Amino acid sequence: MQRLSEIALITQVVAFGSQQAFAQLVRTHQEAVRRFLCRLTGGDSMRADDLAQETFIRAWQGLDSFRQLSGFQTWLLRIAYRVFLDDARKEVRTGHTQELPQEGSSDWTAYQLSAPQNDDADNRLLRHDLDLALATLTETERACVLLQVVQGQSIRDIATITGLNENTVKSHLLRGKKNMAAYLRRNGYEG
Amino acid sequence: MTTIDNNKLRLTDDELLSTLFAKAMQPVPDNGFTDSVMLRIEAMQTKQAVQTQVATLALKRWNFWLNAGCAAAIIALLAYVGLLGQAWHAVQIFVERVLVSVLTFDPETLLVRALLAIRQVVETLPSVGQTLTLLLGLGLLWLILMGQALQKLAKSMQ
Repeated sequence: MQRLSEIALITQVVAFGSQQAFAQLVRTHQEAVRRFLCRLTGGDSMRADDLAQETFIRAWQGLDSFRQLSGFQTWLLRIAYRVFLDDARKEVRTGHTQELPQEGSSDWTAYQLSAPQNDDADNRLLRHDLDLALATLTETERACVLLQVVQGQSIRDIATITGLNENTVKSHLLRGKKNMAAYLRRNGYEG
Repeated sequence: MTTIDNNKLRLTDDELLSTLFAKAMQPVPDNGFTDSVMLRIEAMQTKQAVQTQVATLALKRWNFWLNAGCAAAIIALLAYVGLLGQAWHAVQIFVERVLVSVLTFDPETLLVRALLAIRQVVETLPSVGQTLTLLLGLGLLWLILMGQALQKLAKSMQ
């Protein structure tokens, strides 16, 4: 039913250029896209929001090329991943790379402030540790792990999003999850 | 090549990560995000509309001057054909007269015929010269028109 209404909204956008219908689609999928980008950028919610905006604008411009072979969210996440990679490459070119703030540093306060107000300290620490653990992975491994563990995407969909083949995705997942879990265990998280 | 078993991916590492991520996961409220996206799209569309209008105007100008250039070229071509025809006609008459003179050659009237031939040459030459001058004039006029058209087009593109 939800998929049907989503198709109806997409049709309205493609056929009539309806901004209202697109706003509805943004409202529905903003959470998944922003969460994915926020974790990909190491918890930098400002940068993640900028990239998410860029993602939705690219989606608006290219919605007529959406063939519904994959789900709309998978398609959006694919754009988001490309937007992230473009931005990461730009940062490497300009020599401006961001590192995660260490606990107690001045950046750490800003990092904490970017978290929602109703968030407790334990959760903030846990998220910081998860971001640090994610930072030990390569960009591709990080994307694969996040897409599976956080977004609940299937291996086939992860392959579609990242543009890799399924076996490569599986190896990235295996290696990424192993490294991440090892890092977390070393830091006192037991599973 | 060995393939990786799906079941091997679902180990304790998997469970640990799922638990921790689930614990750290929070709802991401919209907080005006959708509105900001829609505002950017609206601004982008306005900019696109202006750009399209400017491009359309430039295209219209280009079409106008292209038509003007083509019209001038066609006029010049017609004039060229017409004037060349006139000059060719004069040459034809001259050749015809020369042929008649040769065929009806009479040594007694040689001097008279020679004088007549010189006169015919003198009569024909200005006609050819006039044609060439006119052609040059038309070519120059066409060049000026095209130059002006291109200049205006370049201005409209700026």
